[in-house]
Amino acid sequence: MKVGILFSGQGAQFSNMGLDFYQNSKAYQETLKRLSGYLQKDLVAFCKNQHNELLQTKNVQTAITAFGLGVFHQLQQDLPTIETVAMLGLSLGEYTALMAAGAFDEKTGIRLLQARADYMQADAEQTDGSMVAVLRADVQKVAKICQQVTGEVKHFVGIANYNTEQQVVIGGQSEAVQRAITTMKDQGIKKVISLKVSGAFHTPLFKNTSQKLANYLTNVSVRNWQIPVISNTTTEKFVPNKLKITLAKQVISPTHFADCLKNLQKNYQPDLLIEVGPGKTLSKFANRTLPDVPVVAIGKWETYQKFLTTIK
Amino acid sequence: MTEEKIFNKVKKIVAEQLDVDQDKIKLEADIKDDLDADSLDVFEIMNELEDDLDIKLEADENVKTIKDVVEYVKKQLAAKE
Repeated sequence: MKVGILFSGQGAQFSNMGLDFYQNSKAYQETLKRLSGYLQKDLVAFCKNQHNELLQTKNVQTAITAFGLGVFHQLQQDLPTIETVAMLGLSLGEYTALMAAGAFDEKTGIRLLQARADYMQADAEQTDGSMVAVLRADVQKVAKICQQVTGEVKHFVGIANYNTEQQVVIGGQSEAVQRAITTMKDQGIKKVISLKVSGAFHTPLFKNTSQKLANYLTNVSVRNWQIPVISNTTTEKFVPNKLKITLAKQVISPTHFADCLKNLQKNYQPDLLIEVGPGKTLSKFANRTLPDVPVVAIGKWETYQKFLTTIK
Repeated sequence: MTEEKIFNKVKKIVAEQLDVDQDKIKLEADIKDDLDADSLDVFEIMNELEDDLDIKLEADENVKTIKDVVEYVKKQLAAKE
């Protein structure tokens, strides 16, 4: 069976996420312990979220990646014969995918991701950014309005996430985003909803992150890896000599998840897509974009056990 | 439109949006807690119902359960007539 794996991004987290895996899966438990050790942090405590740790970007990113890798390792043990034809992650999920594929060893990968999360937290605190989802709108028209507003108010607003054909997210300086909402409504684009985020991710508001990340990456060693990972930024698979530049660009560039899914389907023809991580967001995107490919979301131990009985 | 017809319509839309089986969607189900919807999902569900039934719905109206949605739709349909 040919499988494509999707790794969750920020926003998928919930309190006590993965604790059921931690109790039942040795592979998961060991992964969390190893990664916590590399970071000198308690990732299990983050997942418990007793002190709202998951409200902070700097904690969420590594927690979600640890979740994804833990489940991935358990999956490899339980189903050694499935053929993973390609992987894809949303935003920070790309790091999970690259680590799972072997482009970074775990220690290098998780520390790199922690650096990214710290830089992003700093940028989010220093800029007044916001994001809104726009549903079932003419994307060209939304892009044009954003461009026009950016010119008028001299602050950036633009499309940050191309999630599905029916759903894009725009982000930028709050003032510009507000103006874009008004302009869109004037022009009949009314299906707009604000998202609860701490910054305008995947926009130029994170240019400091991008620069710092590029610096950090110069000292990171990349290994040869086998399983293709499709990039949100280029929509093509990551290639070794451009991996670092692509990751540095990723934080200031829109994500093109729908196109990534289409490329995954076209080039690797998976029989099944598995979303690994808390939540089901990517499964929903996949259902919309590739209605003919079955998708299963593994976010809870119980669902995972059910999945195993259907596949064996 | 009868309450049962509204419920069936809501079930179909919710099932599609949240990728759950229609028979899991009970009237008393809490959309966020039991069906794992986020606020964007609720917004999409409301929009879909608006378009299908040609009514106006606010996503931030106080709806918690499927029953709340059915009753809200019923109210707005009545207001239209």
